[in-house]
Amino acid sequence: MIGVNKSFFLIGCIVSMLVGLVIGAYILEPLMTKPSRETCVIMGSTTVLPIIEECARTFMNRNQWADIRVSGGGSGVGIANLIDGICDIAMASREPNPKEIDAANATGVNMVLHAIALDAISIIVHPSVEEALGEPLKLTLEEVRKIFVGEWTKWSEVNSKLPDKPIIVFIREPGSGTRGTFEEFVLKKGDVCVGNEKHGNPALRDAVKNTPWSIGYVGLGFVEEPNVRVVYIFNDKIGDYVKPSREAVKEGIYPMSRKLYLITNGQPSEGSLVKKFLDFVLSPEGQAIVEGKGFIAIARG
Amino acid sequence: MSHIRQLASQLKALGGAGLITMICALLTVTILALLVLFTLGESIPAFMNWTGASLTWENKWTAEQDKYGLYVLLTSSIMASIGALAISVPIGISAAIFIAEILPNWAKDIIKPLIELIGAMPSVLYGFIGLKVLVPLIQDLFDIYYGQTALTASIVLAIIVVPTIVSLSSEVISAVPIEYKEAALALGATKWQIIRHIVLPTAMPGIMASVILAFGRAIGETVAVVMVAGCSTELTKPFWNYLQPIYPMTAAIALGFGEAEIGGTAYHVYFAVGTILLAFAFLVNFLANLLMKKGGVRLRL
Repeated sequence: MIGVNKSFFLIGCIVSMLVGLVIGAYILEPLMTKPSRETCVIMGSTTVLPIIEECARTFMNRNQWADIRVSGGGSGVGIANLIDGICDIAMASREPNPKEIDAANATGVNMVLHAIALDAISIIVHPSVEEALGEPLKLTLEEVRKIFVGEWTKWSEVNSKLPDKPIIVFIREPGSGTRGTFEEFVLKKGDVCVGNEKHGNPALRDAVKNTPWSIGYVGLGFVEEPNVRVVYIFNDKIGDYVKPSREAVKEGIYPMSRKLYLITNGQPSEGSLVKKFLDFVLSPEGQAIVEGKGFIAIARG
Repeated sequence: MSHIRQLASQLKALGGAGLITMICALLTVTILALLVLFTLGESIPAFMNWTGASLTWENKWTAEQDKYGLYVLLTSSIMASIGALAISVPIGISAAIFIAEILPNWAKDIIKPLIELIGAMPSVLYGFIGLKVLVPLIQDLFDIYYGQTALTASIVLAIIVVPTIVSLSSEVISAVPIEYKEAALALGATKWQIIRHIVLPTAMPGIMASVILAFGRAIGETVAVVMVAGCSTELTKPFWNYLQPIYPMTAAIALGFGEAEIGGTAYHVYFAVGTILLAFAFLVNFLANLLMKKGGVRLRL
């Protein structure tokens, strides 16, 4: 019976240690965290993430009472979490789709969209393509479609000046906001993209950078010349090819540009942290951060 | 009834400590059971075709457009695992023979823990090295443009599963009774003849079990595979081309599940893929246990 007593003693020790820890944590918690700090949880699009991270950092440096927690996951995750009440602000690189609007209505969430920046989707190719052609590659949206649905599989089909090399297509993972926007611009009903799926803008850019004869798409802020080269896109309205650039997006002539949003549940109330942070993002200082991250500032209102 | 009465009396004798151990044991079993039930339950809508899009055998896996061709995922997973075994089995078994039969005991005590340490390394490291070293190497070696292929995945997986084969096989080989070897030695057999005709046949069921367990590890490995497999939504034909990018089951779940809308088609389909993986895991463990019980050498996993 001595063995049993010993094990009792041991288990008793462990249990009382755990209980002590829990009680200690409860007692110390209010002392360690300042109760006056207001928190705000932001989740969603990885495209918007770098802007909001930088904004949150600057905002929190100035306002010690604010505790803003920013994480990625993608537009879909952000919107789903806003509907479930897990986050206060969702970052999205697209507008909510009908399914998400239904889900929001079902739970009584009123999604309010705040456009905070403009972004363009740039088609990028490995430098080998541009070097073989001797000039930047120029495509119409229909030609882009033919490449991405696998109708054209050789570069010689795209342009007779290009060699008979395979087109290696990189696309984003399912559910990516960038992918959703790209496919809205390019695909027709019933089309299916064929390619190698990469998780996130940086991974896709690196894949194109390291793979000769490859093509892919990223947000304008992620283009890293001269390691990858941008493709000019044909604009029907002006009848010319347009290089993806800030100026072109601002003028509204680049065909593949989109708005980036912060989404809140209802209009944020005056004086709340959410409202103050939104105002900061839209202030000249916040918009400077937008530009600094490679996106395009948006005029207020 | 007598069993239960015996258990009850044992519990009584142990008192509180016995109760705690019993609760802990029940907890682990319950968690496992819940996990299996949850996965199965969530996958039923996909298998029964209750959702909008169904699982098919098409050569197309594009969750974004609700095309769920299991052909791509199953072929990819099996290609990568078989490829990994083709590389790791000869190396692993040879190493196991060397360690168990030739190496002196003091060296065994150093080498075996080292190999087990390699087996315990986080697999993301292998993926990282695969991506930065192996992918460019394969691009150069085979003169292809995209180095993330079935072969790359197979090599990385082979490195991951070699320790499993070596440590288990050498254990089994060491457990071959010394009397068998002494009898052969008395008949004038050489060391190599003993290994080839006595040791290997006796240990064969156990070695097979280690290979099957390695297969299970390879098919379930996720992180390293996502990084080097390429994740192509469509396979080329014939499927046995090891220089094409593939899209194994684990990679599909890892890339797509984060953005899948809860309760949507994709969500249930990913659980269905999870169920297939679970089935593989059960089958592998069942077979390995069966083989371990069979044969001259008994060794419990």
